[in-house]
Amino acid sequence: MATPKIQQVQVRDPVCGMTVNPQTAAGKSEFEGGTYYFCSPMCKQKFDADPKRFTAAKVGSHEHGLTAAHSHLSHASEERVAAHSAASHAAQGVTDSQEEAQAREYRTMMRKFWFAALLGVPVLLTMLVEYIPSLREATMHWHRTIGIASAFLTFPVLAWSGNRFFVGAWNNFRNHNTNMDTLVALGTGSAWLYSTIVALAPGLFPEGTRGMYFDVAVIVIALIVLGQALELRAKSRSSAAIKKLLELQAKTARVIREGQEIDISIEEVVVGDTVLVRPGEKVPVDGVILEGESAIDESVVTGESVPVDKKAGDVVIGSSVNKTGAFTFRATKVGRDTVLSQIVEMVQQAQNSKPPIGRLVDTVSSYFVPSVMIIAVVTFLIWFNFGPPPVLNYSIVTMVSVLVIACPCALGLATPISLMVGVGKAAEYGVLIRNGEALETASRLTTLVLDKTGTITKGKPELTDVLPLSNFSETDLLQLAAIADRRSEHPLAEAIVKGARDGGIEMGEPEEFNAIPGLGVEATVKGRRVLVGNRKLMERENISLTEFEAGASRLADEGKTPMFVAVDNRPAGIIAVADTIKEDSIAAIRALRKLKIEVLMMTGDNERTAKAIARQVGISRVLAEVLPEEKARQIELLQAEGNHQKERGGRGSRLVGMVGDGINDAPALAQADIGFAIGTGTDVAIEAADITLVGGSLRGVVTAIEVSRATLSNIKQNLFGAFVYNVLGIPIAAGILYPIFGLLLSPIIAGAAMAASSITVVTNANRLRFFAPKPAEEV
Amino acid sequence: MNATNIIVTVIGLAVIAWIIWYFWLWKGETVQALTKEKGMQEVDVTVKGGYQPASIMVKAGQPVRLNFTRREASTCGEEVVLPGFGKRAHLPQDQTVSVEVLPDKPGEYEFTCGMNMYRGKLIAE
Repeated sequence: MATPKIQQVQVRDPVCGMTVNPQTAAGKSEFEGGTYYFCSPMCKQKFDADPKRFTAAKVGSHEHGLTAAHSHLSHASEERVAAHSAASHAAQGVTDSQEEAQAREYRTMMRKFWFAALLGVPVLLTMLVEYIPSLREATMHWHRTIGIASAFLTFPVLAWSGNRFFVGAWNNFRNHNTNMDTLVALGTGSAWLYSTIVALAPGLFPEGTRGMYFDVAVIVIALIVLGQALELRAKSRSSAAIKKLLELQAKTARVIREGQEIDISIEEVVVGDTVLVRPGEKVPVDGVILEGESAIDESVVTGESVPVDKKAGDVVIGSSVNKTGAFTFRATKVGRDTVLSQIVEMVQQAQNSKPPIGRLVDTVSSYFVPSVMIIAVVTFLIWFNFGPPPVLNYSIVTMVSVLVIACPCALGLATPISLMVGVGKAAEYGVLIRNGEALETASRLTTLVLDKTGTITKGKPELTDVLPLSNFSETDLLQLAAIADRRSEHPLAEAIVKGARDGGIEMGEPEEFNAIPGLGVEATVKGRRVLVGNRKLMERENISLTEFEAGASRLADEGKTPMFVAVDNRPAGIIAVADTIKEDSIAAIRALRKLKIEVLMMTGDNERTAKAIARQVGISRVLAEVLPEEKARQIELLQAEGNHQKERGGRGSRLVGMVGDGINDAPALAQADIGFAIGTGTDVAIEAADITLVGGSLRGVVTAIEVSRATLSNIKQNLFGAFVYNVLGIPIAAGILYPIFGLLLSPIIAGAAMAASSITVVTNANRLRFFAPKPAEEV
Repeated sequence: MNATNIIVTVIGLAVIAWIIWYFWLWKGETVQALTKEKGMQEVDVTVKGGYQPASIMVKAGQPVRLNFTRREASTCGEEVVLPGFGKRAHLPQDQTVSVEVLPDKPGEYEFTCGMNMYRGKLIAE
């Protein structure tokens, strides 16, 4: 898929100072080796007439950061910059400039708030005079003057502090659109306009309806601007996880070119460069160690804090930290191809997706603002026709309250902001969630199928037993089997070959070789037909298993995998291979069961061995002897089983997750409602699954489910809060409590409530930042 | 109910009818994307109180480049999100930001602002 240009190179028109995109610029001119771009032909004309005038002073003006520096870029350097920004660097650039822009905007908003607040206080005081009878009497004659003065005093607040609401509302209006600006502009604008008309021409209104609400207009604007400023600050915190990942990148690399050690920036490293890393330094890009060894802390991508020992030939990941030794490595992936860049890209994509729970909100929010406007008009009409006198005052106050209390922002923010924090948090622990839908499904998983090899176990089986039948020696049997297996890539075959080599057995090449998926191999070794494989292979070839039975059963009960060997169609012996269980598998499975998830094990291994392993890790249901191509079908059966239970009145439908490696188990991962791919940190199968566990530990599945559940409940709290707020707030603002309790909400309180509601949503989402998986010993 | 009440009520109801017509029933025009080099379909979208155009026809299976330019100070439109493609772009004021997507199947793909108040759609055929 095409990727977005996250950041385009922007240059500044040297004449008018406007930012222009070189590709879409209206014109360009060359001057003293620099290329200049213009927003309009007019600017170009002016420039061409006297280029010096526009070039001399501009250089060195760093107010605009990148853009100013680029204003006289030559073509060559521009391309280089473009290439940089296309790399993972772009993401960094965006976060930086975004951060800067947000900080600037925050400062502007706070200035606007203080301006409104400072002018608001005296206006509020003069309006309060109305409520104190003695003062009211005393200022009677000044009433109109105070009103006119207030109108003048408050106008700048509306025009400057509140200008974005009015401009926004107008722009929206022209597009037949509405948003929060519409409500705020209508509410404060109508309060101000009504009060101004009362102040200027009181004669137009009957006695008793000449109330003025300048205080409402000003204070509501002050509070909402303050609310938005605080919201902006909280929002910038919610994307902290990505920033943290990017900060971990090394800035420079020490490469050896033509025998010289040189320090260059990481953007200049190319594939094939030899890079030197000293103890305590960061590995700049991905690569393979050429010389030296060290312990490397890969926690940046895997979430595992224990350093991993690496030697020549091992893969290193950019941004991991070299702990002990110095080494050189050959760069294999740079720029946006590195593991970290891919992780960042995936996390960003996921943060921007939408979980199904958000869809309801979409529908609601598209009708929200016009509905509130209609409710405001209805409120006005009810008070005007049926309210107590002075009806006009009550009608205006309630209408304004309804307009300013409604908060579509809280609804709109509820889902995306929690998702952003949750997905980022998961990434910190080496759990990459593809999108919002995956997160929501993961939170509701009921059943989890674990692949045995490589998921529960280390996936590196070792040779344990060689049991020849009477006509073979141990060495002969192992030699025949090892040579037969030599070309096989199956981990069990590799274990036999390795075992034979380690035992000093002389190896040769098979004359013929044929791998039978899911069964084993058949080969011709030293002129003899050798079969090495599982029970199904022997059955297929009609080889009697009676002589094997006792040994095979014993080995299987020990959790070992017996491989049967037949030579010239006669049984020859058993070779057993065993895989070790990963240290944290048992704890992780216990944790999963605590999360009320049914855990199953699926394996191509024989049933006895599978059950023995399952017993050791605490799994009761095992799907054994499943051929690779049947794995997806087994998942489908489990899903159907769940639906069947549901039809019989059981609990809700079953959602089946599958954990396996991203390559061999890809069809099963795709069939499952959620596929978890276990990566090994260096070989992240990012494309393969809904959720990728970079750390390679089953513990990651627990973290994924915990984070998903925490995020989803956070979203639900936000949505519930936002819905309840609006559903309760709007009728109260409309005055529903007035007939019973005589209670009427001041529009000022309504404005404060609205500002508070958005901040609450963002703050609640930020609580997720404190999520931490439970330590293994507690589960 | 006196004459004033009746007049005010009638005006109020008229305002409600107008709100429904103006904001809900009004349909914007649909713009066909232009195909440029290498089959890239391109559309310039102005962000100002909404998206102009808000409804864009494209051919499915061909990449689309949307050039967004935010022409307003209001921060409502400062982010554009394309949930169907998992993409989000920050739109600095008065700068053109291109977002490339590939609508591989026919259907409607929404794009909205960060808070879901501005809405636009790609109609892939």
